Amino acid sequence: MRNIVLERIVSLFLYVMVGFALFLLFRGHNRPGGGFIGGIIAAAGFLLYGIVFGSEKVLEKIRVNPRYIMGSGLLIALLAALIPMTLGKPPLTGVWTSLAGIALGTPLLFDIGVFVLVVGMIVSIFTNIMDVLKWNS
Amino acid sequence: MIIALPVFLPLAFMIFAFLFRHFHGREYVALGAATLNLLVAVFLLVEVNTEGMVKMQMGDWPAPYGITLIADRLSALMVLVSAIVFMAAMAYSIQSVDTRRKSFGFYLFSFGILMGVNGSFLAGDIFNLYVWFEVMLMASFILMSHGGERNQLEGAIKYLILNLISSFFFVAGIGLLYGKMGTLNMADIAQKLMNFETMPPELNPAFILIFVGFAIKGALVPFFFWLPASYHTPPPVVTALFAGLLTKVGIYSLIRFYALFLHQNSQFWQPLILWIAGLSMVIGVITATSQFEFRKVLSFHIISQVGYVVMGLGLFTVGGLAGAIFFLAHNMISKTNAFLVAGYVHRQKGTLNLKILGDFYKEHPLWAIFFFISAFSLAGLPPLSGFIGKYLLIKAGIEAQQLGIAFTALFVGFFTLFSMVKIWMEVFWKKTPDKIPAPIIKIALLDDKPVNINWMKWSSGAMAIIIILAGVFATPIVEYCTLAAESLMQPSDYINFVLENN
Amino acid sequence: MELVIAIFIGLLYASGVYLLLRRSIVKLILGVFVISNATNLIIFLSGGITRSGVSFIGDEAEKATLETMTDPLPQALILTAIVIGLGIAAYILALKYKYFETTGTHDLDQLSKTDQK
Repeated sequence: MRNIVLERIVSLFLYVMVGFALFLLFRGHNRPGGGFIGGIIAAAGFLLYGIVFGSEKVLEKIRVNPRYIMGSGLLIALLAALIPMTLGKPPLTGVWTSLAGIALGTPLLFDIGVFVLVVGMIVSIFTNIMDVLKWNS
Repeated sequence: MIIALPVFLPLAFMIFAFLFRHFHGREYVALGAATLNLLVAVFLLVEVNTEGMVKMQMGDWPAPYGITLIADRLSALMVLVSAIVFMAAMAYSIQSVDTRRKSFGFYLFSFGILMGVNGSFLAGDIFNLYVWFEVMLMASFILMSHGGERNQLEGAIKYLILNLISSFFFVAGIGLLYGKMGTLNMADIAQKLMNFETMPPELNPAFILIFVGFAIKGALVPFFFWLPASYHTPPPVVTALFAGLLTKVGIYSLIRFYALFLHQNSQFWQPLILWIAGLSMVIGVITATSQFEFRKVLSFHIISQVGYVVMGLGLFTVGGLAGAIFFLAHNMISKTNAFLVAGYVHRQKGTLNLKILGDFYKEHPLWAIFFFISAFSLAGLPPLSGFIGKYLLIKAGIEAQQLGIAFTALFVGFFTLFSMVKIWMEVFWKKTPDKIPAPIIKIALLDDKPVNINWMKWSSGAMAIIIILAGVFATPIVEYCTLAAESLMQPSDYINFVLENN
Repeated sequence: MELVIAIFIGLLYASGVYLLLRRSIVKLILGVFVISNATNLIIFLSGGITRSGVSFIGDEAEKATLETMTDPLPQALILTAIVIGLGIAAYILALKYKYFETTGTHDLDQLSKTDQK
């Protein structure tokens, strides 16, 4: 059964959730937040969207196959481990540069990797479960 | 820098396998990555052998706070042997795993196991050890149920539940230990324990929980039931990989914990460990004699051979530990090769029931020789590597005045020989019986894609050659194991090495 | 407060073990989840419980002393354990589903095909 009010609210709410997740991601190094929490919240937004519209619509919304999202998340996190190794430091050491006054470093890269990985993983889990349960019909 | 590579190299391959799932030639990329891993392990061993120990602080945080990766002689040897086992399994899998399993991430999860195993060998931090255990277990759960045949699913449920419970024991123990000691770094805990005259009794629950966790993972006697119920269900190469790597990680961790913490309360732990070792040896070998399935016989033998290693640990003399380390390394290789031969038998005959099989020596003499070498190495016949391991262990047992356990080990050796001779007679020697008493059950579908090189034969043959070489040229290996045992007996070196900051 | 949580952990373990011993696979899996959470609580309790602010963050960091500070490490450990538990939960439910699809039973006593007769 369709519910217009719910559909409108959820499709707006998805952007709020993802925006808040990104806010938590970038806030994460010094204050509560970080890649994992942000990823969970973004994925919760997609989950809500999926419950209302079905899993196919979620995959349309994301456009990329979740497995590539997961893979690229792992790759980004691995880069964050390997970049310090190329500079002769132990893996996962924080290497910082500054770009226009904003400090950028490998911990942020690692957090972004975790964020992407978590979003990909949870979306892939729940779309698969929904397909098995035939949630769309 | 090289000590981080055994962890990151499998991860890099996993990402590759994840992103390019349908890449043709992934078998060869996997074999290449396994070879690279072997090279890394050799370099690590050489470096450790010259310097004694190698460490790395992840993220450059100093020792008790950051995560330590540390390789001493024991862990370097374990990384090397598991790299050999893994490479043989990868070469073997090119022919023996069907395309459906390959494209559903067989290589992805195999490398997950390798990453978890290498990480566990190198971890210098208890919680990190737990995380590597979980990496390894997650990958092994999936490989166990991979393919989704009914037997596999049943085996996977048993394997999964019991291994999860062992993880809970381990984590609960870590929680209690952290609550008492306030640190997770193994060297730091050991140093704080040394300050006590005797082991504080409130730590005993934590160590008993951790010990039970390791004992379930290592399939020691009261906790072994998951192993024979599940190891014969997945494809042969997966069983070979599991038999070579998984239980051994539990035993390795037990050795590490005993040398660092538990020996300070040895009047409690030593008799317990010796009893468990003796019971594991006897019960494993006796239950194996009553089995009539090739892989089940070998699975039960894992339990008895794990008992040998734990016996060397329980003696806790230099000779005993050296024997245990040698036996552990030998057992990883011989056991894997015995399972690889079982896989070939299954591929040719479609069954592993000993009563149905026969004539294998006449049809495939080379494979019969491979089995002969690995099986009689397990049974401990000279000049194969198993003889050296058993000789060292029994000699150490007699020198330590523990005659009971030494004679148990000797006695169990005869039973092992009996089981191996039984397999040899039933599978390789006797005539195939005319009347087939039981229906043939297909375990894994195999596709016979023509390949230029007979990878199965080469990998099993290489393992057989390694077994012979390790038996004939045992002197440098035994010397290395003795050095490893000496450094285990001197935990202060390990502690100082981890805690000193450059 | 510690005592209450400790008793609660004991209750969770007891109910987890009770669920593990039931014949249905679903209850077995629920038992595993309950025990997993009880174990996480043990780690949580191992850091001690203090009524205080966060330890390392912002202006609170100067005011924090060893007495008022909460140990942040157990929370990091629990986060790791919970993430591992999440992965295992997803896998174990998929395995259960697949098993039910193949065999059509929830009964653990039917899980005897791989045992020795």
